[in-house]
Amino acid sequence: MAAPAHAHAKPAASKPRGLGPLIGRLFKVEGVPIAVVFALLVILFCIAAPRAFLGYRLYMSFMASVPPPMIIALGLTLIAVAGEMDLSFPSVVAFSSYVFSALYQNYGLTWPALGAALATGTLLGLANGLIITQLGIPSLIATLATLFLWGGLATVISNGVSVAIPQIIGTDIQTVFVGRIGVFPVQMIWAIATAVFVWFLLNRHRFGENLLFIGDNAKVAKVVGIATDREKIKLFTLMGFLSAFAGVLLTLETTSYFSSQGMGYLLIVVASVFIGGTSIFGGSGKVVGTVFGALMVAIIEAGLVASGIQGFWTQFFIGVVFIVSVTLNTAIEDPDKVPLLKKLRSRARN
Amino acid sequence: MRSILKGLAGLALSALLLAPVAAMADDAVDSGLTVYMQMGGNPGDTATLARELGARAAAKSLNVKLIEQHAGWNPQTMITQANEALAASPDAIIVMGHPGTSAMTPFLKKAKEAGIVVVDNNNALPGTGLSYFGLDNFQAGKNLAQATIDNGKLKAGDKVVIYGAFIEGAPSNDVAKGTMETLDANKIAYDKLQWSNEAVADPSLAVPVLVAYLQSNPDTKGIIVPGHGGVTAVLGKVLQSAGKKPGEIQATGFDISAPAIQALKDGYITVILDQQPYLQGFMPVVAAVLEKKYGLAGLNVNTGGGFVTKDNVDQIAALVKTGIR
Repeated sequence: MAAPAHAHAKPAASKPRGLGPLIGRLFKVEGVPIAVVFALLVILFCIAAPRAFLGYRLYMSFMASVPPPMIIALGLTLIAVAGEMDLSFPSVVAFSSYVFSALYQNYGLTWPALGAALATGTLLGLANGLIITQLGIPSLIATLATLFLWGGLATVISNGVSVAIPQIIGTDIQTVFVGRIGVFPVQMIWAIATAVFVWFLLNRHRFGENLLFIGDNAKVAKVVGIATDREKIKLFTLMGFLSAFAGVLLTLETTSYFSSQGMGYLLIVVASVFIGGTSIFGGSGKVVGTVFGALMVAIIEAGLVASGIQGFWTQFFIGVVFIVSVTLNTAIEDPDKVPLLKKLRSRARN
Repeated sequence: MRSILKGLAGLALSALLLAPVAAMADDAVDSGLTVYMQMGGNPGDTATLARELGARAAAKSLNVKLIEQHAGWNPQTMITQANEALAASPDAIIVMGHPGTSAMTPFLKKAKEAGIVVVDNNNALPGTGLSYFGLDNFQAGKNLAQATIDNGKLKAGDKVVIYGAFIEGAPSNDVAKGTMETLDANKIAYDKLQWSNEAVADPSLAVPVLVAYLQSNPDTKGIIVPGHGGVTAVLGKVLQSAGKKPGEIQATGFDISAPAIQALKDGYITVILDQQPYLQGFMPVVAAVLEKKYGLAGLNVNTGGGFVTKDNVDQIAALVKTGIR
């Protein structure tokens, strides 16, 4: 179809010049706005709490504790892209952690225990996918049910007993997954590798393309020939695998399993995904945003505490920082996406 | 095992009855009662498992149909579950006192009208006259603070941090209050850090927060965790991450667990207050049976208050693996 002549002429006449448009284009790059917000937050905390934030120990502590929720959040990003939700991951984390720690404690197994834990998570994820697609239960409800189902099953099988495996420190598997390169926790490398894998999956692979299509409009996706049920089963199976992997990393780092393991991740993982800019309505997802979202969620409480905000004020300011960060993230990306800024800009133009 | 448990239950009955009433004790042993019991946290968690095991052992020995409730330490859920238990018309309900006496009063009135025995565990309900099995939490907090001061040879002007619950009515709030009173009395300065719900469920999330505090406050002489076994269990990891040497900072907490035992052995944790939750499970079931069968009420048993330190940790470590301690 030929475009009218004036359609070409108009952009050429208004071709932007200078640094402003370049920065504007830079902020359109995935993850840049939230990276800027994250950097601002770190700078703020460096000023407010220099002892903690200008040293390396605190960052190493983050690098050790953030990877499990970050890896789960990366999986949940794909789930959200497809317009679905998974609330069962804390129980998958607990179940897989139990399988891993019990096999190590009772039989001294390391690599086979890892395989068994990952297989457990994968199977639980597969079961989630089958329940959602074959029973036709919305994923939010289905995974809320399996949150209790898998968690209850893990507690029954473990008889509720915690498992401590301090002997695993220094073994090959511990070194490979949560060892230290100097002072740098290896699990962060695994988390970044997972992020790269998920990014390519979403942006450079047919599977990701299908997920985006399903999230945008599931009915149309079906009409154009995408096997939506099959893709959803694959999606939840992958989520189970990633949750299990996160569970193993957590168990190796803490050298223990307890039945509420993973439960504390529920809200922070969901927050990481949506603070990172992934759409709650499906159809678009930002993997880099999720990475920085997970870092931000982790850093806020520690930063406030180190800055001297204590007692009941901590929770209050966590809320403030959340709102400011999300708004800033959106505003940097496109000021018109923030209704208040849009109105102000409109008034300024008039 | 069954005979040991029966023997233990029989011993408890004998001690509590203070009379050689063998025939009546037999009647109680084969009670056939239905008892609902509030276990507090989540199934199998550090502060709950021993209570569950104790209650199950007593129920098995006394032929009690035990129905366990778990509130995730949420006082509102505890009230809801107490009323749910009431609706099922059991013989007895074992509650926890976290919601407070005034919040529990409507439930207690209804239970009394329905002739249902109510027993309290873990957290007292002052003024109700219920049989209670647990610590004097306020006093326990005072003891924990005193042990921290004594072990660390802390003096007036030294500073510690309390990582706990400071919201009125929250679980362990009274322990924190007791801790603060003793610190105030000894003129020890302290900062209060309120633990998050996420850290309560997954204590590994507390690690960076406490590391950040220690990095920002290098003059801190101690960390006190008044009331959370899971958080106590990560104190060793906190101190390692913050680059502290064993014993450099007094780290004291509540409830023993395998990681806490390890941290004690390594010298990172110096004192743990052990409230023996197994007894908080076992004894209320026995008391419920006694009250239902014979009207014996008003028992008040302090289940612990002893400390675990490097000196006695080996004796206890084996029992921790089984969940009894």
